[in-house]
Amino acid sequence: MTEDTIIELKGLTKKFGKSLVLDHINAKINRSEVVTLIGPSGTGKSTLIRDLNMLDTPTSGSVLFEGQDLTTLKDKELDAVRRKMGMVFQSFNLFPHLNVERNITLAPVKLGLIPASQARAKAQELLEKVGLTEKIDAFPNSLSGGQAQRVAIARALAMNPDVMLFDEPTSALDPEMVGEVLKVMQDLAAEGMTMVVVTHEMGFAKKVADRVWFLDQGKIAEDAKPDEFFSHPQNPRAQEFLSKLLEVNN
Amino acid sequence: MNFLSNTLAWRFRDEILSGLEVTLVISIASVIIGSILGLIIALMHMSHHKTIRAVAGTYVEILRGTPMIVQLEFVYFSLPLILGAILSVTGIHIQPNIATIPAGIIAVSINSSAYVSEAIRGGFNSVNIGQTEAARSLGLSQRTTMRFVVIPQALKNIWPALGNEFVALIKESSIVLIIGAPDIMYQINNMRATTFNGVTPLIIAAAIYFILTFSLSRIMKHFERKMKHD
Ligand SMILES: Nc1ncnc2c1ncn2[C@@H]1O[C@H](COP(=O)(O)OP(=O)(O)OP(=O)(O)O)[C@@H](O)[C@H]1O
Ligand SMILES: [Mg+2]
Repeated sequence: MTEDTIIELKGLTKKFGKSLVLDHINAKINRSEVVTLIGPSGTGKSTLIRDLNMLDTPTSGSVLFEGQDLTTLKDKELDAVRRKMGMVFQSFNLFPHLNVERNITLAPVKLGLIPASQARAKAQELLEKVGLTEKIDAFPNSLSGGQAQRVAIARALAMNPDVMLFDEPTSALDPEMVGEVLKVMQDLAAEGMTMVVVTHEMGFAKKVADRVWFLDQGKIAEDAKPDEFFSHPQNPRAQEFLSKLLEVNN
Repeated sequence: MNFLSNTLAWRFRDEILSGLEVTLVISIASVIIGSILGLIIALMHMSHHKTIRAVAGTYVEILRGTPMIVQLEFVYFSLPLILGAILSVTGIHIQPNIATIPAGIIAVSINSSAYVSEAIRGGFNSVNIGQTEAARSLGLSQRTTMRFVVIPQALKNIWPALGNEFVALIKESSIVLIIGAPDIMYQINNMRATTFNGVTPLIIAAAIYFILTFSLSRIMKHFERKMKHD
């Protein structure tokens, strides 16, 4: 393991019953790298990203995070690791009974990262980052999709994570709100955040990603720099996938 | 008519009050016992163990699938007989008995526990799994997630269902009169028989039950609104 590897997958395998979703995946992600995970629906992109923080338990193989094999950890030990891996979901999953401030500060306050007296200031600081300071007292049901997702990003950042995981963060958004969320993600990447992003936003992948993983039949069928991947995809199924996307977009 | 009902109510005030007391005792005890039992059954129903889940499921199905009157008569008539038979096998020859009010409390509590457990389970199931995942992904423990994320949301859904169940319980507790527990309905029926008045006593009964259920649902709504503001 080199100095700057932050996540390493070794023989990562996941079966749901008889169906093999992830098939002995080996891969590494370096610190400050942005990896986008793309592939047809149902190929296991969500499963793979959820295996990184053990929201889903792999069937076999290991997931090394900062050198520690997460598959050997107990539930309690995982809590400490999950703090360092922020996750953003397609459906936001904001806590509807808490206002924006409490959504952001619930975890850091409960886990003793910041004292309750500084919670509001911390929330304010993070909301500034996502451009939503005026929403600090709002409840989630009063936010637009784009705002909700930006709050969800702020909530994840409140734990000062080393890695951010995004599972189709813009797929549930109206088209006009996609940009504001991608912008926040782009800023994060520019600050050097390590990111794993499942997305169908090829523009984002081209512009922001360091690498593209094309997932197919349980394997990372192609692992390439974005410009290589989009101009000369090697894998035939990746070629097919990209040409279909082009058809849809034209 | 108004004058008559007043005097009739006044003349039977002691009977009515003692009936009210019995109804309140049975209802309050059953709400408490039924809720505790219902919570236990709900937790069993949500357990990881298949057998425990199956036991809870069967319990709920049987109680919801049989008439309350059968359950009540079973507790009052059959349970002492079964207990006596078991005791006689162990060499003790006494015939246990159960008083009407405790029998009523047991039957109504057990019946209510099935509905309470379904209300609780429904409340928890209505909280999206994504809520738990979001909380856990932040590093919150199972316990903290339950306490600060899942339970507050579940409670908002459980509370109204629980209110409905308690209102139903008060009304349905009137069934205890068939084993002779001297509740409101029992007293009202006596009143009807002794006075040969087929109207007024029942209006009095309806009014008392209505006041009880209406006050209860107001109280529940008050707390419901309070929860919404948090
Ligand atoms: N909890 C589960 N139980 C059984 N099968 C599952 C479960 N979760 C996912 N699967 C299956 O595993 C496969 C991969 O699912 P996954 O959600 O990871 O795909 P995906 O690439 O994220 O798809 P999408 O683009 O639609 O989000 C699918 O066939 C799915 O039906
Ligand atoms: Mg998915």
